[in-house]
Amino acid sequence: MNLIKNAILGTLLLITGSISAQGFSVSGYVNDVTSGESIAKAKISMGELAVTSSAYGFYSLKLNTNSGALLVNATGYEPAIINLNLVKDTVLNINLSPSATSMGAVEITVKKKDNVRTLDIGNQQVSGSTIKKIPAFLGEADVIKAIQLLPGVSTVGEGASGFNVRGGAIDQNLILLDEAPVYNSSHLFGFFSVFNPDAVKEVELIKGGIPAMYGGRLSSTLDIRSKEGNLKRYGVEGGVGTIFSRLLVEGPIKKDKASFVISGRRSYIDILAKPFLNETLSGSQFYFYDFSGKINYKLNAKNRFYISTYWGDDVFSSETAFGVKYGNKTLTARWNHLFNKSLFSNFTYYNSRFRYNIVFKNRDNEFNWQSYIVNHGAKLDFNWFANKKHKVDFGSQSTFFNYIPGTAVAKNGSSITNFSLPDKYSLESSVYISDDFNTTGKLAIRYGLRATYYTYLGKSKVYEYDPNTAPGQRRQPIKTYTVESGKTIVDYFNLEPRASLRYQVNKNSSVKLGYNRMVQNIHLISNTSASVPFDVYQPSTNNIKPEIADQLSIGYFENLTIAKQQFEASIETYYKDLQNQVDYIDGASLLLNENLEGELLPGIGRAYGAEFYFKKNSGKLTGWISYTLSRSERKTKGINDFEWYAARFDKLHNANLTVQYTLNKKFEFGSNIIFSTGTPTTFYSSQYQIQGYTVPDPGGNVRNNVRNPNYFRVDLSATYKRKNTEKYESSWVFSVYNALNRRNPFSVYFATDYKGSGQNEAIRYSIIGSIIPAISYNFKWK
Amino acid sequence: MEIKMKNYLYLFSILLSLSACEDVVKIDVKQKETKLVVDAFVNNLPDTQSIYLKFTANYFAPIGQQTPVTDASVFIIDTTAGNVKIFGFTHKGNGRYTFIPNATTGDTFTINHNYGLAIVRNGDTFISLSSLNPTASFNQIKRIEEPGGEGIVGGSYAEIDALDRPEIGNTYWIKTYRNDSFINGINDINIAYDQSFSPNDNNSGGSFIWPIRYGAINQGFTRPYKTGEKIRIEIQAINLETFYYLQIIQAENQNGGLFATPPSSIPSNIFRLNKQGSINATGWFNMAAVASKTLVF
Repeated sequence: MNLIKNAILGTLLLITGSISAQGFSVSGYVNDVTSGESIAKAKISMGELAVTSSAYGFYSLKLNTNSGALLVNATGYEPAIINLNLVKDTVLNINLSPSATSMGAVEITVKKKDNVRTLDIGNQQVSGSTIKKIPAFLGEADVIKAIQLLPGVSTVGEGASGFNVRGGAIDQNLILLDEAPVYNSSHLFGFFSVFNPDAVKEVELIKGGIPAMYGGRLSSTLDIRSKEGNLKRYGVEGGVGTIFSRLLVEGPIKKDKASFVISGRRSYIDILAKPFLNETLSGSQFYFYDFSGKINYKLNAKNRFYISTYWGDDVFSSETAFGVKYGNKTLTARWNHLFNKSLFSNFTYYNSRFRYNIVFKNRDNEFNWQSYIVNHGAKLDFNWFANKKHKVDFGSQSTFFNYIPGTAVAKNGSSITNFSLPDKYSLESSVYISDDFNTTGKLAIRYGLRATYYTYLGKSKVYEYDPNTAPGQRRQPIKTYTVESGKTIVDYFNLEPRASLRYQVNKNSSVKLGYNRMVQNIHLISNTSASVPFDVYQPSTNNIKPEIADQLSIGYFENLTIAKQQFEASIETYYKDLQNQVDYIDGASLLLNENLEGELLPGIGRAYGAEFYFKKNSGKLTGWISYTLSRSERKTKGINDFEWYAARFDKLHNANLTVQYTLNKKFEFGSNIIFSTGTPTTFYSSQYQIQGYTVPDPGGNVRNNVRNPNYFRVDLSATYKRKNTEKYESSWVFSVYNALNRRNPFSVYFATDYKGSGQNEAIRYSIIGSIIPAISYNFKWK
Repeated sequence: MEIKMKNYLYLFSILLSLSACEDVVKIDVKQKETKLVVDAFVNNLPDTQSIYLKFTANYFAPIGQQTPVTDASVFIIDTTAGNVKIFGFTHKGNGRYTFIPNATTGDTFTINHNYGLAIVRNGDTFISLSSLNPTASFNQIKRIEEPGGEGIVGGSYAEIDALDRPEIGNTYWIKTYRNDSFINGINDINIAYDQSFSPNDNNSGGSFIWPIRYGAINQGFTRPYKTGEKIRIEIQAINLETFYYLQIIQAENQNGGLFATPPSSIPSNIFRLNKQGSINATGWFNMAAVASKTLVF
């Protein structure tokens, strides 16, 4: 560890040495003028000098000249031009007005160059307001569904939890809600995401060139920042929809000093379904809810505090027979401290837990199973606006994980059988440093390093498996022993270099290169076609090595003006090399299995593709087209005769069109058109009888040898805005999901002796088999 | 438990998705190769022991109409040191090969002995190995009266009163016969790893857990036993690999819906001795000690 410290210090000194003092600096926060909330990723520039505001809205810019026009741009805001005439280093808090949503006002005169000029590659930002405009399932705007329309992002299908980024599994996405990791992003399996769009300020998805401040997952970081709460006035907004209702209240606790925001949603399908349930199910509960709350307090110009929390659950239960409950809970406390005009810091404590509980009851018998993953962590991040050429981010992070894979008890009267598995513990600590080096010429480079030290800790039972087992066969433990509390069972140290480079071809176009190595010490154990909430997380152990990904990406970015309309276009290609991917032996038994690790097979993977993105930012018609051509493959000893096979979420083509059209002040229309190649699956080819049972057989050690049919869906929506006043606005949203009434296959599976017919059949299983219309009513008091 | 839970979840995913649907679709599947199928579950009971040899059929061919293999020689060999002995099976038609144990001549299968299966046909020799493990201690079948309700039809049902063997890692196949016919529904496959479903050091040597000793032997509690009806239960001590084999067969037959797992390749413990051969084999060989009890209602 000393080595890393020295390396970091060395880098710091190097940069400090090159600081030159000419021109004054201007620094401060970028805020929303109406709510007082801070604005992240705003671009502040003067001539060739440019800087991006931090996640907390702080910026600092050292100028060449002391007078001139400072230009401020941020997604979703009117650009601002501020004329400066500095006589000393100056604190300048900048207030931006949100882009007018009513028609006619959206005439952005200043060209947006964000995607061309930043160092970000494989990076997409979506604001809460954009998410709300996209037609959605049952009319409910959805963060994760919106993300799935972006290039490089896909899903196995409706009803599948999570999302896949650039050929990665769902557990390879780091989902952060106000810096706390969220383990399960879905309500109702995969139909809705757990994030209330009203409470979301901004979502950033990073797929490539991932900066050194993020770590712990291979494929992407989805950074969700919730609203901070209006510092100036009270507001209420919400909606009544077909499946659930939502409400958000925000306002100042002390004007311009402290504010709060609370929001909640609850579904009421159980209430609507009640009359249709039979006697056995009449006492049933099916609902999900989520709640979030946040308080922020500006102590003074240098210190600001935030506390935010989220909890949500899905509950399905019948009165007597069974109960299922699962959900996330997070808590984040943050302290922003400004050391001086160029050094900003943030300290975060976070705590997150995901758990599920399944109960089956039958008179005096009960089976009760709970599984948890709990973590506590702290991180310290610094943003140092060192000089005109360097912006340095550095920091450290440490997270303690407690895995409770299964506390399971079966009761029969007074006799109790305990299926519980031993708890597992791990600690992951990282330090990182990253420098944005802007040559002020055509070239800018971001280079960084993250170092991660991981320990798998006692108290736990340790298993050693027979190393001589044939590949693909179940390995039996040859030795087990218990390691005492706090003792290291195994540790892994990994260095993760990160880099991105931007070459500005001309004012409106650039070429970017990105490289990142990512390391992951948490593994979702799931062999279902689509992940379900009842999958179990496992830490890296003596038997499960850390997953590693190396990704190289290259992209071309251009801003275009065609017929006075603004367009943003990009082409990105990537290649990803994956190590220590987790796969499973045939017929693996993954739940409540003490010898689980003996069922796992390590494999390698590769994913590559090209992403095309074309976005229209202005005018009556806005939206984007994304097209992804990609492959994601795995190679595992013991599967598919050690030949490459398609990952279960592999899709060759994935095309999305999403458009919003504003007709006038009253009407807006939206549409999604989605096409993708079917996911791969394995088909049986022969059958035979063993002891009177039919055995379906794929005819060898094959995996994912055929494709499900293609997926094609069209969604439509129309929004009618009622007469809005200063204080109140409301709208009706009419939406149609799957407007072409297609039965898109979630999967084709084989049913042996289908419904006792004496015949095996192939069954196309569609989660959504019809048009789904919905109406919702949204309102806002300002 | 995993499988049963999946059924519940499947049910609810259907219910909740409002419009999920299933359609039979026609898919043209060619059988990759025809294999010789060995179905050899042999036990230490004095009854006639049968081994079935057939060819695989196309997946979409009608179930149970496989072509029989009638021209093979089938043997079981006791390979235990000092006890080497050959048991010949005779073809009785339709691919069924039988052997009748004879206690007087000592032609019986013995607990704790190791056995090999040998099949010779058309220049190919197929072999497999299995040990004949001791089984659980089976005291009795208990009669239970259920009042009914909550999806249970009221009436008489059966419960196993038996103890798992004390060592860790015993596996059993519990077969139920109602009025002498084997209950062979795929959901009625009842297998135990020690006294529960999966490896766990805490659960060895006691009574089988409730779902095994009661839940899984009563056909979903829809058909209570009437007076005069007979139930016979065999607790067969199967090999560990056989436990997982039956688990795969059950899982593959119940696969589907939102929680489907990708179809598994099906293991086999039948191997061909000669490297170049006319046909590959699949299927399973298991030797089991059996404890059996009968109850007449």
